[in-house]
Amino acid sequence: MARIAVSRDLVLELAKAARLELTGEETDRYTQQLNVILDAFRELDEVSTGGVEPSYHPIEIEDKLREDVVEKWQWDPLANVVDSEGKYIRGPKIK
Amino acid sequence: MSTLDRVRALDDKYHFINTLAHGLDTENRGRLSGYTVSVKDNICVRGMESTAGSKILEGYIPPFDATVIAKCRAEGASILGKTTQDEFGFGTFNINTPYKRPLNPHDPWRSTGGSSGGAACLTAVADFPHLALSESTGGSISCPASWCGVVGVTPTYGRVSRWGLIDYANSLDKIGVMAKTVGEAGLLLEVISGPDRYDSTVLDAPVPCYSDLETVEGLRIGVPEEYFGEGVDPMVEAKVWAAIKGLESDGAEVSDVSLPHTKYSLSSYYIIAMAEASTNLAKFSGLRYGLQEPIESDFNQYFSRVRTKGLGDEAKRRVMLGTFTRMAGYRDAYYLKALKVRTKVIEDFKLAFKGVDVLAAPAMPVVAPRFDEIEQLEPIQHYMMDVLTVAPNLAGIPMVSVPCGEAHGMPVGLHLMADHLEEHKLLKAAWEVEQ
Repeated sequence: MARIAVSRDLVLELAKAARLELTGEETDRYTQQLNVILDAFRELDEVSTGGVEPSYHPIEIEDKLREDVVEKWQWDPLANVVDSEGKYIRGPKIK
Repeated sequence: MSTLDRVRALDDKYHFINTLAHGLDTENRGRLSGYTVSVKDNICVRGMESTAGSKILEGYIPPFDATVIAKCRAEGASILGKTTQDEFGFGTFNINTPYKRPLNPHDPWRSTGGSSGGAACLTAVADFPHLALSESTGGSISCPASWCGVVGVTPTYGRVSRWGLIDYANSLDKIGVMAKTVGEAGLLLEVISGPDRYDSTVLDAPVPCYSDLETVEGLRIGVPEEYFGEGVDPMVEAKVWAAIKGLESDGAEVSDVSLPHTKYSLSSYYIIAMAEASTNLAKFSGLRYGLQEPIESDFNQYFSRVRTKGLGDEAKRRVMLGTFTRMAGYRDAYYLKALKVRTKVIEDFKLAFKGVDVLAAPAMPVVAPRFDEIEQLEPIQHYMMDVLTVAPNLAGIPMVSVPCGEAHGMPVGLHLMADHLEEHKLLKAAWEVEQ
């Protein structure tokens, strides 16, 4: 992997994508830390992985399907919602 | 003094409980009758606040029991409460949380280890019948079990249902157990293992008897050279070797093995775990559970405000790193590369298990560090502390940390690892060490 120098702008872009707000001090700190950590990850370049399949799971997972029948939960999925109206959750406006 | 009062008194001293039960079930039935079971805070218990150690889930009261809880209740266990942990499991010292930081029962100036620190601490100090449900993604059972001097079992990936677990990294998370003795850990593992119609990743393999522990005679034990030497405290190493020699004199056959990709497992693990965590944590948006604020502004501003307030420093760092390694342009070089290295790590273990039944190594390279030592560490140094536990977690193989003596006056854990679904071999060897 090519060496990546993480800039403040990239950290702010990551934070925006992850819906996080950062102060100036946090941006500086994370920029420094992400550079150190991502640089350490580059050691994986030393491993030859040509023709190697990726392992998304540690073991083989087979698809399991159940009968397509309606089941009713025995509990209220909206039990923890603070702001609801009937069966609906009240949310912020979508621009 | 009632058990709950006793727990309150112990908790005042060691800080291991986030939420305590209002009362205990005294019904006498099943294999866990008479036992209290504590639950790591990331496993949902009906009617009991379950925060996974995060401010963003403050006030979340699950309206249902996780499958492991339902199985324990069906066998007569009484749920004691929720134990402290690092936020979502993001940590090795149980210090990354806005809630309580547990103190090591052997020295209160030292860490219990993480992320299941509360579970290990309570297991060590409980002077009443108690078993702990905990969880590991990269070593969160073995680490605190080793540092607090208790037995910690991380089962095969897919052995135990995760329905009702507040997830960290789906391809790595395993619910496991802690107990004072190997026999009790085996008992709880037996109860919680096996298929679950609500979790399609659970293996259908039958559950053997984990609490019937026989001799280790003829058991082939491999000692991986990469788990000793540089970075491992010589006094820790000496205790681990003494335990291995003890197993040999009890009839086990000991030989050297090599796991050549061990060195790379740390980077592979952190890339995969952070990538998965960054997608898992996207669901915490302050609308359906936990921290919720007055609805103002547009949805991007609202979600950002709630997440900024509710997620801690380490969670933010991991979410950003995970977002980066999945980004277009970097995904192949980081995330996909890490998954391919994981294949190599798994192949190392599979090859080793052709010649041996169980691998033996130190669980942690050092004894529990002091809090003032931890404060000096950079995030990358925190991650490096997991160097001996991440490889078996990447491979999803079962492992147990069993106490094998003390170094510098603190407990040392012998780490035993076996091939997928061979927990019974591990437990036999661990039981022999315990004798």
